[in-house]
Amino acid sequence: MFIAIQSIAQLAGHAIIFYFVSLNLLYLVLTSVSLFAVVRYMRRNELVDYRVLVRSAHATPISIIAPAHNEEASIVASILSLLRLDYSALEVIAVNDGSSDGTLAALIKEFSLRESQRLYYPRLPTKEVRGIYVSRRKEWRHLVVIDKENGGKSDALNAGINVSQHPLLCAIDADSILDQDALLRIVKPFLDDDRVVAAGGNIRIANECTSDRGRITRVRLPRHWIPLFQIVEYLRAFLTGRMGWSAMNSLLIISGAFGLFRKDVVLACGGYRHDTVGEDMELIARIHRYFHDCKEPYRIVFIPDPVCWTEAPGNLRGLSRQRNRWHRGLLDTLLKHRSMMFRPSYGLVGMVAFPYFVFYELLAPLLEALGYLLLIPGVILGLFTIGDLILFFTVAVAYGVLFSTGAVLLEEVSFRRYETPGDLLRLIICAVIENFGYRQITVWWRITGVWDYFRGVTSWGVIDRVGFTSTQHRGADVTTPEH
Amino acid sequence: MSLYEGNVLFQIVVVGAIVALVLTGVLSAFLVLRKSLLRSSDAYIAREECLLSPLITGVILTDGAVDGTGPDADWHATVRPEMEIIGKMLVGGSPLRREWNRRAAWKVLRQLTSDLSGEALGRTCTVCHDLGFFDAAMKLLKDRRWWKRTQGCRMLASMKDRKAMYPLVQLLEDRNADVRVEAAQALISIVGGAEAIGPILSRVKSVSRWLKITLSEAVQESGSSVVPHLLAALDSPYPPVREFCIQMLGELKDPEAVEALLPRLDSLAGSERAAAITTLASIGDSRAFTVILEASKDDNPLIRRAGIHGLGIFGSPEAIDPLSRFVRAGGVDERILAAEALGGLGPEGAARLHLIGKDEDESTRVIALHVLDLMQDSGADVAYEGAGHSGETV
Repeated sequence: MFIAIQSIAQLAGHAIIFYFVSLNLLYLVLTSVSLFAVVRYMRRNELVDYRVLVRSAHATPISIIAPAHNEEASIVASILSLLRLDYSALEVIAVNDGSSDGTLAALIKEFSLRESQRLYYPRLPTKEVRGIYVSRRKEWRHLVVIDKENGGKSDALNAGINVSQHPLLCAIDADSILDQDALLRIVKPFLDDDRVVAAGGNIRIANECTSDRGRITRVRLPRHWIPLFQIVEYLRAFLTGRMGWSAMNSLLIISGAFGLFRKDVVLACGGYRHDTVGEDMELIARIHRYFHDCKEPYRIVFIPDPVCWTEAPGNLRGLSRQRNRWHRGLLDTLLKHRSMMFRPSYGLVGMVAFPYFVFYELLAPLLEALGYLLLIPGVILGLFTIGDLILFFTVAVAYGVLFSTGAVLLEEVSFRRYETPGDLLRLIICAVIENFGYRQITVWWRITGVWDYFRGVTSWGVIDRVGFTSTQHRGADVTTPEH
Repeated sequence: MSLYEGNVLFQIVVVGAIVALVLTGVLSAFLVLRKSLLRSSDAYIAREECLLSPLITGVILTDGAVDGTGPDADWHATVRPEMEIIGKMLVGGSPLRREWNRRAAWKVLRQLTSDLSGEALGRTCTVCHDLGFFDAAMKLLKDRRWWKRTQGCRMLASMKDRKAMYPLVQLLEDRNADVRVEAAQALISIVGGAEAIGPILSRVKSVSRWLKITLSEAVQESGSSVVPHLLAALDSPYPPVREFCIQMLGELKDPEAVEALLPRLDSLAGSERAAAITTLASIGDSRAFTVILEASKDDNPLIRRAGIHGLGIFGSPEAIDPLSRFVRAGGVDERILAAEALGGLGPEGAARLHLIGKDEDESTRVIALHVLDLMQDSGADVAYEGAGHSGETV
């Protein structure tokens, strides 16, 4: 009996090591593809004169949809910053999703809103729309405010889609900040290639950056470890992850904080689903299915250059809730679309991307935790050798350091948003340290996410936010419930 | 059995990780140092710009004719000593220093070419030649790497030297799409839309929206001088090119387009036909009204929408009745389009829309009020009796 357990444990331990070897091989391929894709992108777009879009009447019009729930403190600044974006044909749709505070009142007062006779055509079903408002003032005539019953972010986005008038939709979080020229850059793939149906922009962390009137004026690294580690994670996820998948037209996720979509495609796919916390990934999966089922050419791309700045959780409590929700959203989407897996009719998405997300994104935390639980005691019990332990740490941790550092270096050779050599050095150090402790904590959070999913937890959780102010802000936390 | 001790492959994995970590460490150190150096180089280049800018500007503004062969003072000969000084500044020092100096000089010249015109621009081009920038750009056009060719196009666009026209025209048929777009943009920048549009339209096979934006700007700036080229390109074998030309003729509202488009209409299909309908409507020639009206009843939704929209642009009161019928029947999008077209027909159209806003049918009423609200936002004088209840649902 003991020998049997011993054998099973050894087999499991060795299987986990093989798993991580294969994972690192895939990361290596993805990173290499991403490197070429970033270099190509830089070469194509470095010196493009985007200002021609600002003055052109032929720029494809965009409707920005910004759902908001209980954002009285920041909604006016957020909407003002959106209205001032560089783009010639823009419509900003703020959706007040059943706020219990003065979100709507703040908007009505600031923008001189009046109730409108605008048609609400519910192509996508939503909760009841109580009113549509437009501004009396000429300078805000591109603003539309929808007041509706609370239905969640997906519902709010769908309401915005129902009201929108333009062929491109930009879904954005109301508490994020876009770079002034972000729309100019993210719309370019749609202008270069008619097959492009969705584009995701880069999300960067704005903690302790300086902002002024809704614009990031100076990029700074946060002083605390937790947001610093998240910067490294975001660089890894976006520059070496999404860029690679985008190059293979197998991108399975566009951040809900900043994505641009063709409206006709979103409508054809049925809009955002209400019954998931990973509505952003779920929509992309459905778009892939739609085009593969129709057998029409299409592209879903990631653009590393247009930037949306968002505030990352500054403490472990908020971060744990966020990562728990992300993993629940990932699991939910993968389960809903499991029929895509290993289906040749879905091309690289079904044969490579989807299985990757199942086996290497979803299951990796479980297997990594199992690896620690098996191998460390296993060495003590004589089941494994020190060599096996070294091998496990090499493939689970050392290569993680390599890929994290690689992402930071890729950022340095491409966009260089962090100005000083000191900043670069700090990021490199974080990329190393991140893998000793922080990453293991996120493994635990992701495992609890899986557990919570099967327990039926559906909440978004509360994330403590400090908010953007005109100078670096280190004031009291303002708890903003996410809807 | 141990995986590690039993298998060379896994030993390679571990050794590989160590080697990779060491190399990454070296690369990280290099990039941190490079970042420091870049900051120094940026400061150095900025300083050199300050030194070179008055020198180069002085050269350009020195008295003397551009053409050194004339009887007037030979400007080129006059400024030769200063040019030698500048030339020495660019070739002296270490390779890195030379590269930084050239970058500084290029920044100054690029700024001057964008600010200057006429004789001063010509002199700036001469300076670019003398300092080797023109030859460097021409060399890049022949590079086998596509990004180098685009770089060459951009440099030539900045220099605005007409000598680059022929090689750029050749690049309009380059195998890489980005190079083709850059070559087109460079041509427009150098010779202007009127002269560039003809060669561009005769050589490109497709017009991406990005290229369309660039070309349409050039068309708008050039005005009616490009009409002959647009009309000639209507015979292009490539549908995207034809469609682009049809759209541009509509934007220019040139009456010659009516003569060219009416006979061709039956042979056009899909988006080309829709573009032609819109163009004819924009021009407003009375011969086209019947065609537009027929298009508004077409089976093809694209053409039908172009027809409905066209009736609004055309502006004839004869369109009021047909548009009123379209507002009352059909898909929601087309009904809204018809209401917008009706609203665009001046006071009579707006009056009819007000009337429709009191229709018995709720959906018709809501659509009319929606468009009247939109018109009010756009500043049109459409005072109406708002019912106060917003968010009407169809």
